[in-house]
Amino acid sequence: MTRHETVDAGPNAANPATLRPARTSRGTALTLVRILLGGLFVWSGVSKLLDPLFFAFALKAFHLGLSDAAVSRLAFIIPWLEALAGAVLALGFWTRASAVMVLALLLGFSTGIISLLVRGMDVRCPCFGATELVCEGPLGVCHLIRNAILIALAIFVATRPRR
Amino acid sequence: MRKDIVRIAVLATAAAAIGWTDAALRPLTLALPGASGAGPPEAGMTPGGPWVTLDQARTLHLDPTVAFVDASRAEDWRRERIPGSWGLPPEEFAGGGFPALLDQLSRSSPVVVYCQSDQCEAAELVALRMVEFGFSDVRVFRGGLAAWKAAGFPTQTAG
Repeated sequence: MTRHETVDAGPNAANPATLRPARTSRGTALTLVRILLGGLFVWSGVSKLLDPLFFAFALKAFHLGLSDAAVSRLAFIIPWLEALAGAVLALGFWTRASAVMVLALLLGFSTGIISLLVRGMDVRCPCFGATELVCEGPLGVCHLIRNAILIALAIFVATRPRR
Repeated sequence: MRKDIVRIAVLATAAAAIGWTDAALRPLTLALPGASGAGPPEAGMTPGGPWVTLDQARTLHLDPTVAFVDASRAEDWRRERIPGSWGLPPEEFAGGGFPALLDQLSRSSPVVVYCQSDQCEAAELVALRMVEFGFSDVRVFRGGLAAWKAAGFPTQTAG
């Protein structure tokens, strides 16, 4: 018996028959999270693109010192980043890359929300256009908690083992 | 890892290129007619242009031909507003929609739009939407309800 076979034969051995259900359930969870998160980002991006002026004014409200021309471009580029990363993630190719992009966007949005809270500013959530998902009212702690959950999901997908 | 970085760069570049093109095809107007520069001066607003000072807002409010529009959230408008103000949050224009309320206002009458304070952008956004729908004299009272109350001017509460 080789050393390799001895290790595999132990009581906690990686028996393919016992590992399969766990791998399958993790695979199913990954697929569900991928589609949910990706779909959410597609929705978020498209709803902003349908009403770019609404999102542009939310960006203005951050008082980042950007010119109107820069805000106008960002009002299109950010939603396209969301929509493209979300679509790629939901469709299941370039999964890790798109999950990292979604993660980066979520971290960026959360930083923006924290800066608003610190400055005591009242800005409507432009997250899904005029639609409010779970959190109502101005950007605040509820939106941060919602983002934290989404960040956890994005990390879950981004750190999946390579097949 | 390197493959993922390349993929991220490809996705980001593609999104930026599409977004840039989209911005060029659908240019946004973020400034009200007559507004100069990046926005209203924070203090000592000059007469003219779309910006209304506190004193000007008070004078305009006494004129029955001037409509006051509150761009705050519906619940904020219900709780407290400048007397006689119409409640019209930006969400009413969602997806380019035309709020029914605007049918009750004359497009040639002067309109003053405000929101809760100088920390909200909703007034400017609603003013821009109204200009898009053909209102010819739309101004923004940047100080909003906060400045109005701080000056001791009367407000209208729930109802």
